[in-house]
Amino acid sequence: MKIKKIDGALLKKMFEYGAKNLEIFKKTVDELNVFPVPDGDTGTNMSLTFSHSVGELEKLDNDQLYAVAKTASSGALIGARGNSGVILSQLLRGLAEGCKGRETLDVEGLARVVRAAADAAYKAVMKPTEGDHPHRGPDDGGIRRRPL
Amino acid sequence: MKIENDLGYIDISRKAVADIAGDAAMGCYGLVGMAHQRGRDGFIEILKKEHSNKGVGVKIDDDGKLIIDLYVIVEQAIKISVVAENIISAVKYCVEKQTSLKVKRITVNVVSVRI
Repeated sequence: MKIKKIDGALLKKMFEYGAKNLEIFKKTVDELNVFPVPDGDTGTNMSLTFSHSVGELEKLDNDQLYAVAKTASSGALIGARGNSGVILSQLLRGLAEGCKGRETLDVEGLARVVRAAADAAYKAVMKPTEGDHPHRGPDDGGIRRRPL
Repeated sequence: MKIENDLGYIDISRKAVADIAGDAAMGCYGLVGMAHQRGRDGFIEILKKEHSNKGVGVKIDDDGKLIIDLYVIVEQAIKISVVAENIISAVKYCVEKQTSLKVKRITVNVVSVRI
C-alpha cells in the first residue's frame, strides 16, 4: 500500500515509532557525539527529549495534524536535554509552524514542512558547525535548493 | 595568567581566555549573540562576532582558577536553562582543553531573548 498523504493520526504514529527507533539506536548516535563536548550523550539526550515529546502526544486526544505537531513541539521544548535536545525542539517547532493550516501533508507539503523545520533550526545558531546536528538533520531531497 | 616551567613561563592573557570562551559559547546551539558586559542596565549592545570577547568577563581566583561570566542573547521559544547548561559545559571544556587552566565557576547571564 502506498501512502500518499500524512494526516494527524499517521504523524502521531510516526513520532511514536520514531522515538522507539531512536531508543534502539541511541548507543550508535552516542558514538557520533564529538561536538561541542565529546561526552557521548547525544543519543541519550535526543532519545529522552523525543520520549518526553511522545509522552505528551499520548495525552492528546485530537488527531488534527497541527495539534499533533504542536504538542510534539511543546513536549520537546519542555523536555529538552542537552544540545541535541534543544536542536530537536527547534526542528519540531519549525515542523509545527509548517503544519499550521494544513489537514494533511502530501509530498510537496512534507517537503515544505521539512524545509521550515530546517530553517527554524538554523536560525537559532550563530556559528553552525559542520557535523553538528542541523547538518545531519532533515533532508528534503534537494527541494531546499529549488524555489517551490 | 602564568604557567611556569623550568625554562620560563607561559603568559595567557585574560583576553585570550575571553576569546576562547566567546568562541566556544557562539558554537552552542540556541545562542544568537553576545552582549556587552557593561550594558546590563538600559541599552543592550549586541556585539559582532569578532568582538564577542567583550561579552565575556574573566577573573582569576586566588588559587589560580578562572571565573568566567558570559553575557548572552538567546533565541526565543527555546529552553533557556538547557541552553545555558550547554554553554557552560562547552565553555568549560574548550577553555580547560585549550589553556590547561582550571575553571572554577562559569556564570551565564541571559541579557535578552531575540524575538
